[in-house]
Amino acid sequence: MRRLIAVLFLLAILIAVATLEQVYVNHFLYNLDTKSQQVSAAIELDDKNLEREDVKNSFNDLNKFWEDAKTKLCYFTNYEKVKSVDESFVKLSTAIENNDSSLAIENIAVIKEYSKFFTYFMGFNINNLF
Amino acid sequence: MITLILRSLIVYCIVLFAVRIMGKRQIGDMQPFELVITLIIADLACIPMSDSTIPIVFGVVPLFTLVILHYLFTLLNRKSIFFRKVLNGRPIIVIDSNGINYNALKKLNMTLNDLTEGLRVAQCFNLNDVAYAIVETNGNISVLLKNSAQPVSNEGMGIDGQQSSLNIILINDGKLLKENLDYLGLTPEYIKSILNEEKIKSVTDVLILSIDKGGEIFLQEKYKPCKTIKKELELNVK
Repeated sequence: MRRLIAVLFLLAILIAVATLEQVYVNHFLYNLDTKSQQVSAAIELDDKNLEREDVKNSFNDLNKFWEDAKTKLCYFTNYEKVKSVDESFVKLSTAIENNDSSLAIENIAVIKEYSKFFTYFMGFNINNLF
Repeated sequence: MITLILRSLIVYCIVLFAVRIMGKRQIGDMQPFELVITLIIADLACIPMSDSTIPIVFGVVPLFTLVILHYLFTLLNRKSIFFRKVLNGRPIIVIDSNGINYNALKKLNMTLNDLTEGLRVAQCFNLNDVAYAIVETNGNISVLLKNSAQPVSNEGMGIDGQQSSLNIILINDGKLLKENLDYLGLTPEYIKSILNEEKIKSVTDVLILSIDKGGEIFLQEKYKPCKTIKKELELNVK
């Protein structure tokens, strides 16, 4: 009986963790996509001048969101996969500060790509299953 | 480095917990499905232990999933004869009245060397002595000797021997085991009186003191030879 309780407890923990992870990943990817689209739109509005307030504000918003999410992602993602995106955030920040539009466009594309394809690392789908 | 040490501790505790849940059979004679799970668990435990970029849940979640799967398989194994056959296979007779069953050996992927080695492990050194040999589902070989090779027993000799009883340890490396004392209905004072009679000053000087229901005491002081003492005891076994 004790063993059955322990096994049921483990099962409950696994279901809870799996559900929480799925919900968090969906929520995280949706927000990352929305916020990176905002930065992308702000950059494309006038890519000759990246020192505008709207670009800085949307990037700060995206960066703050990423910094918060990054610490949580490390609990259930291989850090190596997060690191490459983290580097893109640093490059994007530098590009905006230096008004380097090509570097900014390149790195915001990496972040947008991540928000679309990260689900293949984390979420439950047929590709991950096999 | 501290992370790796702490990770190792956490993973060790989790694997220990998992093996405890899976039961003692996991450690001893393993059935095929138990062996598979044990091998996978050993590998899973290593992944998050050595690589700090991988979250610990990458090892823990599959581990717990296997524990649940193992519980299910054990349950099916107990309840269903069909599943027992599928999961464990069935015992196969490799030696019978016709001698060695070569087909059975081939089916088991066993060589004659494996068979003779198994027989020797079962204390049988002569093929002529074997009436039956069976390869059990866990790979052990059980041997039934021919009548002529069976060891002499009390029953065979018509001797009505005293019923053997369990030997219970009361002092283990200088420590009095209260649980066992309670089981036999003895008190620490009684044990101390035995020690006094044997001129032993303290419980801590005793390596082992065990007693059986017939009142035979096995006593050994640390760094001294053992003694056997016979006592008339009224044991109150619970």
